Amino acid sequence: MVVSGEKPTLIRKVVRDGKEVLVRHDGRLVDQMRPIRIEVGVLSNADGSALVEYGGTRVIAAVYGPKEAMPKYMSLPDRAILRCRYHMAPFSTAERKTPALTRREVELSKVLREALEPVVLTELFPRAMIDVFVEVIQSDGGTRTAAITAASLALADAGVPLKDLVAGVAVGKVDGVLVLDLDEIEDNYAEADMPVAMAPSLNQVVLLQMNGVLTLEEFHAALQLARKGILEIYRLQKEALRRKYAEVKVEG
Amino acid sequence: MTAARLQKLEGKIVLPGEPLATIEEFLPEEGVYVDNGVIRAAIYGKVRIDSRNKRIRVEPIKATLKIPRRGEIYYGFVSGIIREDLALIKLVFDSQMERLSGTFTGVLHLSQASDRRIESVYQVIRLGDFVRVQVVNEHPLLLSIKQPQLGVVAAFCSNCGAILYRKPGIDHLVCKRCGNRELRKVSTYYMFVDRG
Repeated sequence: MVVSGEKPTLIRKVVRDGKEVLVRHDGRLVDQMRPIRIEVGVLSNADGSALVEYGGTRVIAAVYGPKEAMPKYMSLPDRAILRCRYHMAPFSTAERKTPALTRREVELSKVLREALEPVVLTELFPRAMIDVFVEVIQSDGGTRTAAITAASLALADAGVPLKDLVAGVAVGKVDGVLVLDLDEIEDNYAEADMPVAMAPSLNQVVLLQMNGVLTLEEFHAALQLARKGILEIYRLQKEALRRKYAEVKVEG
Repeated sequence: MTAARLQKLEGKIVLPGEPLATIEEFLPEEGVYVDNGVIRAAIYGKVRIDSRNKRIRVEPIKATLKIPRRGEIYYGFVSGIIREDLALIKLVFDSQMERLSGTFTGVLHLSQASDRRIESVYQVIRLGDFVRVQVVNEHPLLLSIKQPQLGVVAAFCSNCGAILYRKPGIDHLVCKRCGNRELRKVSTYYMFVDRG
């Protein structure tokens, strides 16, 4: 998106409950995430699926397999290959996006694959292939982290053995203040933007990217902030999976 | 492991990454993995403990995902006959008729296609037949229909496409619509039997 016009006020000082706090353009506190909605098993044709919403960002992930590796020469003798596709729907942005995979989407597909590879127990399915499709239905910043959150849930829903679920969230510096879960407007004017994804039970970082400039102290603080958000998302992920199981029990 | 903790763990619904026990306490089986001496759940399901044999596993809520292994039995369709001595079979269901997570294409060679000498695989199977096969090798995925329980489970008439019936006492399969007779390596599990 082309950034034009005057920079809006993104951080204001507001008195809440007698205390002066920093409030963001949408009324959130600096360490507050957007409302998150997670649903598992939203598609019937896929082996596993999940829908994740971070405020206005909405993504759907679908998992197929393990199945026969195609093309066959891509298969590996000791483990399964993960094939990821991150794609934004043409209607996901304010202006129509071409439906073809752009350079950015190809790169994010790779980023997604590399974030999932450490947690998927691929060695259980040698020469097979696991397909992960992520479709961005609506984009409002933080799509790659939402995509990772959704993809790991879809894998768990498909019954693919995982070392841990993966949750992701972005942190950034807006108007000199570290903020959690940036949206599109904040992202456009941020001095730094850092998407982080972790496997919380293993205490492992699986994705860490950064755009912009942070000091070392700010980086450490940002990582702590991301961790706090990730633990909250992880709790919601587990809740969503358990909710689906409760439904299955009622049916059967 | 104390009895109280053990009782709490048995049947518990767990999610990937959840720590269950240590490797000193149990032998890990399916649905779990070991990380740094800790046995953790790998799938979401129920914990099952075999305290006599000291085994722990997680029972999945959906069917277990699997890929064809040597000795296992699968159902599939004949998807291509590429040579007189080679047929391709697309595996779709496992021996319990549970759908696989994807299809796997295996090769059936003439030497594994019949318990007697034949000249061509056309003498035992045809395109589109539904067959019960055993995996004899994983890579390349080689299949066999030699045993009596293996072979064609449902076949269709090459002339008119109708279902072929097995008649007790006759080697051939018979088409009830056009009267055509065809040869197959018929499994004892053949679905359509005409006793009339």
